[in-house]
Amino acid sequence: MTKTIKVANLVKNYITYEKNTGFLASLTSFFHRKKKIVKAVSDISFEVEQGELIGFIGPNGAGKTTTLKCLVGLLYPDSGTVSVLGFNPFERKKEFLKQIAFVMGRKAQLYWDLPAMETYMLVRDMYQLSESEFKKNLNELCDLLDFHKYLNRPVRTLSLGQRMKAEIITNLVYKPKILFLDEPTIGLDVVMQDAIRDFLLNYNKINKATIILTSHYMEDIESVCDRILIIDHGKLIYDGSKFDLKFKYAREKEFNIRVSYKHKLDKARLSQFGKVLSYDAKTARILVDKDKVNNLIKYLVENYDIADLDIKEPDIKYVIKKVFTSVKDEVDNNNY
Amino acid sequence: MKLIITITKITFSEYLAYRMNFILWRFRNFLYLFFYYNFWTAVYTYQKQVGNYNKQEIFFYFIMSFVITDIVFSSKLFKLASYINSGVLNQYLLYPVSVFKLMTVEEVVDKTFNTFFSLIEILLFIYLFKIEVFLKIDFYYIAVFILSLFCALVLYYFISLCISLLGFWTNSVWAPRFLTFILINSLSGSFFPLDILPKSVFELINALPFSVLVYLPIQILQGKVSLDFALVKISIAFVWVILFFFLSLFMWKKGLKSYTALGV
Repeated sequence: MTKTIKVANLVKNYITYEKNTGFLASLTSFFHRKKKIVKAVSDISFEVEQGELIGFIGPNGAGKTTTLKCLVGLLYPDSGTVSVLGFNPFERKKEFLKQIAFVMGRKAQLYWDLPAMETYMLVRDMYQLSESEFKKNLNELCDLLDFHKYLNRPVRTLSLGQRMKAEIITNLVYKPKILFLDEPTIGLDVVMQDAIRDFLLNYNKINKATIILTSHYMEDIESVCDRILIIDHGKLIYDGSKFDLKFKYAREKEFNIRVSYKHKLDKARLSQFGKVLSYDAKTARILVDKDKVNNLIKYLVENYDIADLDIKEPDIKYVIKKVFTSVKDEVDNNNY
Repeated sequence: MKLIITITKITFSEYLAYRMNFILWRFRNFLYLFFYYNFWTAVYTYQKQVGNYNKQEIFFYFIMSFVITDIVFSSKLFKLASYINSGVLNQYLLYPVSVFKLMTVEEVVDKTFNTFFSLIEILLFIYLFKIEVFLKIDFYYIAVFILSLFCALVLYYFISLCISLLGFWTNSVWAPRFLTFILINSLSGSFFPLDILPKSVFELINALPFSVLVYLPIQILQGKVSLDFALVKISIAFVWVILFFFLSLFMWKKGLKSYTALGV
């Protein structure tokens, strides 16, 4: 497989100025401002192969968007190297820019007072697409996103979800090879979120495009991404598959048990197998360590008439929470 | 070429998206003309000559200054500062066409529209108020006038570019922009002919590059300066253009390295 992105020891710091509240502080800061260096990204390295679907996650201010901005060439790294499709992104060569797209969830690239079609025509000319190529790509995208009827309506009259779709079309009408998405489903309703996720999966399948997305909605990561990069305080704390992440950090299975009317669950006995999350004699929800799964099943089958049993993996949200907790514990322990 | 046509169409559509705004904006220009007409009429009620200008000459000066100001000073380039501060610049940086190529095309289209509408308004004004036009009809004078106008356009382009690029280092360029606007308008001769000022002040202002923006082109058109003098002034202005060009290039390169791409 070809490596489309190579990041080695990337470091990016920001300079900000601190100011206390109050009139006196404002007056003082007019003459003297206190400079502060914020480490946005510190020493991260990873590689991405063509066609990968990657979820880039972390808390607010962790360094996700900064990393993406370095990858597209908007920010100049303080140190380290970044190579995307063999280019140094910061040089912003034409051939490079024609092959990437950066979809910013909170920022519209569209002309606000004009129909989206006008922006698409500008994109057509900037990316030097032939009329037939442009029409074909636009039709394909409008079909996938169900956007035909909104093409000629002024952008300001579109809903947030429709604008997001319009924005995605702006970025994809020239068929980029790498797609960077910064919170593409932010503020959208569940139906629209699903539509965007399905679309991204389809786009990846049809065009073999590499997709890197940041999101605070774990459903985006769960349903779209195969590989996960977790960043916290500017450091990469996990890089691996979604499956491995669950395996490494989620050592438990969640049991949802319901027994027949003849039986009553023994809470004290159940708690010997794991953490009882909820209990009401006939039903129970227990978090069980993987090593004890077989024993619990055996115990249940031998002692109860089971009406319903559901055993599942904990969801990704729970796993990610555990990752951050364990990293925080490690940091705390190292401090002692 | 296709890109230029598309940008032209979009700019035109943007102008017309809010028809009332467009009409009021043009009406504002007409009010300006009316105000200046009354002001100079009042001044010439009590005297026949102000400096080297009689009433008809001063009327022609303010009409020409109106057209040239509209052509030279109408600039969308100041938007660049807010683009830098708000992060809108990000989208321009990601296009496979240079930011400056795009903004220059937008600028040319914008100026063309402004010139077109200004000329209509001026002709209407000249017709309504029966103003005599004193034009030096001489091929060389017209040619040097066009050259001086081109020089004024390029010089103002790079001056406004430098001010906009300050956005890389400050969160608001409103103050420097306002100061420059007042300074340039006063020193370029867009309010009144500079040579009606006391000689020492006039010479001081003339040593700066701003008089080339409005005052010099009108002087050439009225035949009030010799061609040799005009060409020397234009040559000096081109040196200023080169200085501002390198300053803007330096600011752009330096600014991009410290750019935080905030806003997204």
